[in-house]
Amino acid sequence: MPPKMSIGIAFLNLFFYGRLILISFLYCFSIGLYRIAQLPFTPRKEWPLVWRRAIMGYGRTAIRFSSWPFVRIHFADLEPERNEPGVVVANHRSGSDGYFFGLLSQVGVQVVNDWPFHLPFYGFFARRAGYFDIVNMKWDEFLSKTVSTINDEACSVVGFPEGTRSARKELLQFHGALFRVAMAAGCPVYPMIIIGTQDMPDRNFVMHPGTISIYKLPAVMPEVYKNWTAHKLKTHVRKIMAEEIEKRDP
Amino acid sequence: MNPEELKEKIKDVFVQYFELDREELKDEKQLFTDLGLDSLDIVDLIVGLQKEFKLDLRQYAGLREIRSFGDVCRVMEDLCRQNQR
Repeated sequence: MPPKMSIGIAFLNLFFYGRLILISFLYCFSIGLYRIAQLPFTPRKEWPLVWRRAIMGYGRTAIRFSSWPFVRIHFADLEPERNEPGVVVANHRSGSDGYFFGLLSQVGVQVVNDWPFHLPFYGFFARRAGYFDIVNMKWDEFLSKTVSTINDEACSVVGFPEGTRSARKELLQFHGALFRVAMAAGCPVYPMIIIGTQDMPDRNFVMHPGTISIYKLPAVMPEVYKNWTAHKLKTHVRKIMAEEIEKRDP
Repeated sequence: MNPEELKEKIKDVFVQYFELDREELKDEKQLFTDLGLDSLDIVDLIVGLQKEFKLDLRQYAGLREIRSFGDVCRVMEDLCRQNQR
């Protein structure tokens, strides 16, 4: 049975989702078409990069314009001078978290489970941008492609090491795949924490008013972790993120 | 090798591969939820145990039952016993 909601929340949701659809439509028929027009003049192997830029731009546009004024977005890069390609790992509380990778200064490609590829609208773009399907790719293929994305294509690999939505403040256990990618690529690991999205939207896709804060934390550099095991790197990054969440979202 | 010596050798593998504290390694500790291991770490664990004990673990069906540190010790004890026969 659908949850009961107040008139205010119903209005907010009507306004939010209405604008999200409108913005998606306008974006596709302006920036999207501009990006498609670029493709014939772009080498075929760089096409995924064009789609990645378009997706990141869409993420930025959607969160900025759909949510205001009910949901305030605050983004802080705590080490703005460092933006070389690397592995970006974020906590995962809600279905909206993927949009916030659009705020990063580097171009990123997401590591996802297989289900986003089956979504009617997003799946089309995820396939073209070369998103990594961690469920169906063989490990060796996954590792070589992600490392090549970082070192040869100069794109960051981004994802949620918890693997699924926690819908709460506490972090779930991390999976080590993204940290093994960082070690193989010898690149920085950028921890990112997303605070306040557990109700935006909630598990029934109902939006609530509030503030979302995103912090890109200082990178863990390969010089620091080069002699560590993947397990130690994973545990270290999880601890940094847990402490930062505790400090900023007590 | 007695069970205590075997357990210490297994702890050596956990310390070497995952840099965990020996004090953390208690029988009841769950590999995934308490010790923070994931499926890729389990592959590393099997490789480490194979090297340490010079056994081929891949064909051993009991591996699928492993949930806790105590389970690892029991499986290795069982395998070492089988290998001595």
